[in-house]
Amino acid sequence: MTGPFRRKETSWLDDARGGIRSVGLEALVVVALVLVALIVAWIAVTVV
Amino acid sequence: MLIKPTAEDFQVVGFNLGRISTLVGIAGFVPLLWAIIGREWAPAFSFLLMIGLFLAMGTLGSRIKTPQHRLDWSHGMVVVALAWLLVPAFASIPLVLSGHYASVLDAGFDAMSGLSTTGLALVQDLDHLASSLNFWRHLLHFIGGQGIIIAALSIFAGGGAVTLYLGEARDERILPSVRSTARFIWAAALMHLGVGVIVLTFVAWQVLGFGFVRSLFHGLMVFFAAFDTGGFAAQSTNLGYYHSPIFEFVAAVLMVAGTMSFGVHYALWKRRYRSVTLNLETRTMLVTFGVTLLITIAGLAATGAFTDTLGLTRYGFFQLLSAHTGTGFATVPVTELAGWSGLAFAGMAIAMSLGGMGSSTAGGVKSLRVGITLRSIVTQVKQVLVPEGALVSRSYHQNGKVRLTPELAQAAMTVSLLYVALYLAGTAVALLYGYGLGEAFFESISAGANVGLSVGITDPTMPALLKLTYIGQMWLGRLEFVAVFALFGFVYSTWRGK
Repeated sequence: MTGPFRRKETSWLDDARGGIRSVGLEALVVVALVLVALIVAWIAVTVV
Repeated sequence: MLIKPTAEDFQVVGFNLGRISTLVGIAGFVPLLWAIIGREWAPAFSFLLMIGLFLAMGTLGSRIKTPQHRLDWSHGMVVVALAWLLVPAFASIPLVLSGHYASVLDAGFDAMSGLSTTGLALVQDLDHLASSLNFWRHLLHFIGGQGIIIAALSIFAGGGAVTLYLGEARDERILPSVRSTARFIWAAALMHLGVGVIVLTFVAWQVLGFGFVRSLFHGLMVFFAAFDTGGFAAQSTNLGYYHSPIFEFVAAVLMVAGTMSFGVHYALWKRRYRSVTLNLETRTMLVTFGVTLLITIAGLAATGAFTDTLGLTRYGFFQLLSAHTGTGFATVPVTELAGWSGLAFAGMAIAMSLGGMGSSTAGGVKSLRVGITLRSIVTQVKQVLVPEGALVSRSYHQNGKVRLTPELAQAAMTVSLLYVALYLAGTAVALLYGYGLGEAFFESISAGANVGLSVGITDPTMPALLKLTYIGQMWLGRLEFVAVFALFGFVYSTWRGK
């Protein structure tokens, strides 16, 4: 027999971890974009 | 036949406007406390006056007999459109009394710019503005930025779909209720506030050599302006004041976070990375950013504005990111930005006009509408090319698979066209006063897409009609037309309805 449906509870610590991880990922995205910009700029300076 | 609004409709609108006034009035205690701690007595009294007016409006609203009628989407639209006029009008009182504005209109312009997260400014001698007033300008970004998301959610989760808004898919429900979604949005904002302010303060304190309190002040200001894609800054030279690539990097991370939709934020928090990479908005934004980056950097290299790779990367990348995310931070002076002619200018203008993701504080057409429009065109072309009778897939990913219906495509294109019309209208008014086509176009997009970058037109000496035009553009652009149209409809049916 199963009990009543219960939503899976997540602690505030899990949420905080998720938040910090997502900020870290955003920082990585910006690093990747800067690297792309660097390559584009190098090509532009070299070609032009 | 137009139906005349009943007394109950006015009660619902008045009651909810009163609630918003009370909330903003309560928020006004934060800069008041700041002014008292900093012994800035003149601003403190002006904040008291402003709070008094907001709370008086709130009390008036609460005196209205609690309406039986529930707030439906049309009431919500009217409330939002009026709130985005009422709040800047009262919020500008401390600015008017500061003596840093040439006129009441200039202070109202800055208050609207703050609340709509635009960032264009008419303040004079900003470097000597009282810190509590500077804080209030930036807090307006936060109030307006977070407020617009909550307002949109509250209206659309309760009222179902509205054709034009379908273009932004705001009727989607990622979390089971408006309450849980709003809670997540605030949790995300507070998490970024904590991390952002700590890192910015640390950089200002340890790298730039500011005192701790000054570092904290600048950290807070930059956070509000970056995360809410605003663009105000504590100093007249904007972000160029700091002369720091590390500071700019941290601001860039916050700008990217601010321009992301809450759906993408949620997916990142819950480690649903596949949902992020498949998302039409993510893909569209990466593509448009890549294309405009190529255009801008090639243009800058061609004009010879930068001859070294690092300088070109640092300034070109940051300015373009600031434009595309709708932030409006500037690391180059206004006069220098005005000199970015040709391709670079075009790249920046295109990026500003497209804007960030939906359900964020960014303005402009928005990536989802751009993505839907492009996907729709591709689908049409495919339909022509495949053999007769063959089926072409009409779907895209937006926190799950979504069917691309003709109504959805039409709605996205309609709002996109309205934005183009808005940009052109502002350009026409500036042309009327003899400004050049390029600068008129750039400044108009900046106002209409709530960006805040300026090539010099926005200045206390510009004509009053142009100031009013930009205020109107910021209002329309922020509310994405529908709420304003609903307000006009409400007024018209009050006059002509039966």
